Amino acid sequence: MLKDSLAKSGIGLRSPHVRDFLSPSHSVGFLEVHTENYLGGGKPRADILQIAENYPISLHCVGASLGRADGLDREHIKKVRRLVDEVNPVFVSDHLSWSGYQHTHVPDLLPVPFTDEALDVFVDHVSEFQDIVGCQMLVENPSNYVAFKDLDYSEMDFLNELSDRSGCGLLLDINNIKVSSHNLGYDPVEYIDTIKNDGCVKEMHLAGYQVNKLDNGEEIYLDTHGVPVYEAVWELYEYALKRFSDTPTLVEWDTDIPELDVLIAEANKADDIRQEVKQEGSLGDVLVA
Amino acid sequence: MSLLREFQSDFMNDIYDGTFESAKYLSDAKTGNQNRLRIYRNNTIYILTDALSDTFPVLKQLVGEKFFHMMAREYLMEFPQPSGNLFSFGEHLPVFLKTYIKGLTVPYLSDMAALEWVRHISYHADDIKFLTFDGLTEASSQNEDFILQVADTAHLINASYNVLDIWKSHQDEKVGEVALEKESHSILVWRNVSNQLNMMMLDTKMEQFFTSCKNEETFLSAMNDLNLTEDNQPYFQSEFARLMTAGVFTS
Repeated sequence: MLKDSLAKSGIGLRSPHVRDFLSPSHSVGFLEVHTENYLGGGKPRADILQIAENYPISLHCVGASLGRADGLDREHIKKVRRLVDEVNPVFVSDHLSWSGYQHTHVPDLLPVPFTDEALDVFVDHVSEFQDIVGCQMLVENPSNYVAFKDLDYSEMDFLNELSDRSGCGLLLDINNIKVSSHNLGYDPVEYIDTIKNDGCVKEMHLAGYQVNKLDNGEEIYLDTHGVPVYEAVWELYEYALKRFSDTPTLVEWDTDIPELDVLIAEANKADDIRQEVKQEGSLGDVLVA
Repeated sequence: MSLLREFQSDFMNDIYDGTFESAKYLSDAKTGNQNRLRIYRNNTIYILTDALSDTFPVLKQLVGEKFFHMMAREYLMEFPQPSGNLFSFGEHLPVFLKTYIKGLTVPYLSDMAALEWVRHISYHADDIKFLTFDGLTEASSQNEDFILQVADTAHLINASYNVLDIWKSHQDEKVGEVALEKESHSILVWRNVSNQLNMMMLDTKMEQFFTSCKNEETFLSAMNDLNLTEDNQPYFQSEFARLMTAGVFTS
């Protein structure tokens, strides 16, 4: 049984809607913020602490750079720890990616070659992150645009191994599965079937993507979080719920951010699907019995 | 060097110089690898340019969107994002502008960038414990080597133009005619106890005092160096009290 608040789906909280949540007036399961926007002080920090009094918060990191080969930025993670202590989040997460090497960084989630060496780096860094922050973290599958050669693992096996060896949970981004499977040419259903079903999937993300054409005419999906969730992603989500059973879910929308009602309607749609799957599950149990 | 380090070094270079050397690590099964790598480069350019737009809104108004984007692109190639915290990006823009805009007829752009940068870092600085008058009295009476610490939420810039009034004129504030003559201005920016940003011009005495404090001279030494007279002492005291109350100093 999920905690009450997590039985209802949440939304990503971005700056245009921060004021809306300073008082407890909206019915959402939880709110997810990008941790790095709140690591300083001043008004952003004051706002998030006030919001945390009324809504469960999920801290979603984008800057820990878990896959960087030259070691974690511990000062950055200590700041995350301080925020965790103040906000008491329901989840702390980051991505299966890297974004910095030596003294140069990018504000993006860069792709990882799934090799033994990279797995060792991730296991060490996720473990170190969890030690510093003091709780289990969730690692999210990112959107990918490139396929590497000479790999030791598929992305799914890499995530399974990472979860086993570090004790982290998984944040399954259904939109990212759709985007990456199109871009790299694999079956999204097989992806979901290969992720182990032992309780490690703690959260799911939903979002919209954009279809673009490369210069060579090839169609590529971009993870833009700027449109409603596509029907194909809802279908994949339903399939994932059937495999992993009811899972806390969050709708992300980061560009061309719509009115709050639109975001909440997307979260409500996720709730409807969760409810349907739960009822089907119950019916299935009765029939089997 | 490990393979992962080599790859990450190559990939990071690709993003900033666009040579796409790291295509050698990618599977040939997919076509258009360079185009696919370009997605990461374009994302970086887009997000970093957006970050500069957020941090330097008045500068962007002054130069126009097209010029700003061109300038941002060259800036981020020369000064890549230095840490995982996006808020740390943009520090060197005032210096960069000094050479980038050589020959252009808008001489105060670097000063405006400096003003907007200190607004940005004051706004996002960690919370601090403000020094109260009682705290000041107690600390200075107990220790003659007491140092009055300037909060990380307060910064001073020395500008060659009155960019404070130029900035205000871009916020729909009525400031009258803005003088564009080259003249030295000391502008203090700070985040107050209510988390709002404030700015004010400092006169010579206040600027000297603030700088001494920032350089961690003792409070006594900073005060003595001012050589206050009966004429200027009341004004200094009232200005100092104003800054104390506003939360410019920390304990």
